[in-house]
Amino acid sequence: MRDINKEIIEIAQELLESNKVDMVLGYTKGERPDQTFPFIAKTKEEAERLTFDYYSYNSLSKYLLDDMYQGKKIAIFLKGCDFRGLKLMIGEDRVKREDLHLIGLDCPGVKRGESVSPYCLSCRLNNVPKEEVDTKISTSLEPLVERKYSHEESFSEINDIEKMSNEERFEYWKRQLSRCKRCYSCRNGCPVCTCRVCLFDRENPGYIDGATDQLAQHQFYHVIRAFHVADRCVGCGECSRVCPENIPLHLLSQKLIRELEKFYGTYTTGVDELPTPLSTAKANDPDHFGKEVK
Amino acid sequence: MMQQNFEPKIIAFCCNWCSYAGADLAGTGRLKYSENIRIVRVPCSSRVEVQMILRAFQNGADGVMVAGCHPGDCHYDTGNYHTRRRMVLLKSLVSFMGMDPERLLVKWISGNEAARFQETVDSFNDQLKKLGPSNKVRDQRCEI
Repeated sequence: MRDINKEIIEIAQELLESNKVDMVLGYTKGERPDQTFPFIAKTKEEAERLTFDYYSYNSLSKYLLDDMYQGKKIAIFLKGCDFRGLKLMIGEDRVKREDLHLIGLDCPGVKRGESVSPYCLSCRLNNVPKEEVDTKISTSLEPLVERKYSHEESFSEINDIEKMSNEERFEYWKRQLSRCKRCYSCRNGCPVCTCRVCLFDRENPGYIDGATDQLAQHQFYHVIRAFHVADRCVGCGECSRVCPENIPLHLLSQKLIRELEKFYGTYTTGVDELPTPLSTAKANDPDHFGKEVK
Repeated sequence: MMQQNFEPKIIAFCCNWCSYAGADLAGTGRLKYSENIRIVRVPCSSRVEVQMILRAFQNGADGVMVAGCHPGDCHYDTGNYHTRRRMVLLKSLVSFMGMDPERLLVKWISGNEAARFQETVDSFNDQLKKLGPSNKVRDQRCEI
């Protein structure tokens, strides 16, 4: 089997040489063996540093929203979850498809430290479909997850929390959320949280602010953040991974995915057609509010 | 821990075309409903965002009511279908985070249902009296 890094470098160099793209967004190796960073290659020499391994967990598609990438031709490496996030971004006109050269990877699952990232356990869409990308990397690494776990198994904490009483749940989330520093990493890292001007960056209304250490404001932020990405979550788990305080934010998203499935049927972001479940509504939806009184 | 003579604060987001007219009719019909309610008129029930509801709770509301037209009667055709989708999800998220989903009431009240408006407000008021004051989502800065 060919070395995946060789293939990545060849493809990147070819693209840069033929001036098809201005830059290639990929990964490079850090100092330690378990460090892999996002990397921008603009020349053929820089492209030699590109790599892909089990630690390439960062989602690169969010970089495309940055000012310095506007109007440039960019090639980008995509794992399964990144691809689905980017597809949503393209569908919602955040980025232009014709400016991008998508390079699909077969994701073997990513590692956090020594073990497999818990978000990869139930992932069934780790491979990028060949017909939807411009270039597909043919070689792949050995998959880390042998058996695909069910949603219930890989997010069993949700069941545990659901079994608690209301007060216990409140205390649980109070413990978690009062650690929040409001660094907004969970918002910035999320590949589907793509508003040009975020609600929390606006000056008006004034009550939405970050400079506070109150639980109420953290609840406010996290309810709204979870709600705004509820129907579009790709389940990559970046929100929890980037959190400096290790707040299990993915539980909120995964809970909402389950609820949405229960109420409005399965919707998989980046696979099913737009619009997402919360940006549309139908007359024949189940009515949970009108039954009792006649 | 129930306080004596506790009067809950209720914020009601009423849609301009149905529920607000219903409240209006209850007023002109001299139907007495609980005075603990503060009505906010919104163009459509789908105008009510999550942050508006949470902000009401932070500012000291004990209950929030979102009232709109009956499904199928929306002035803008599909507005209340959106409300319906969002509020189901918000309720389950709020209860997952340990806050009280009973404090959020979503109700369809049309322009001629003054009696239903009265009934809804009164029963919600009674329910909140039983639950007692809300103190889970309070913004300390608002309590001066």
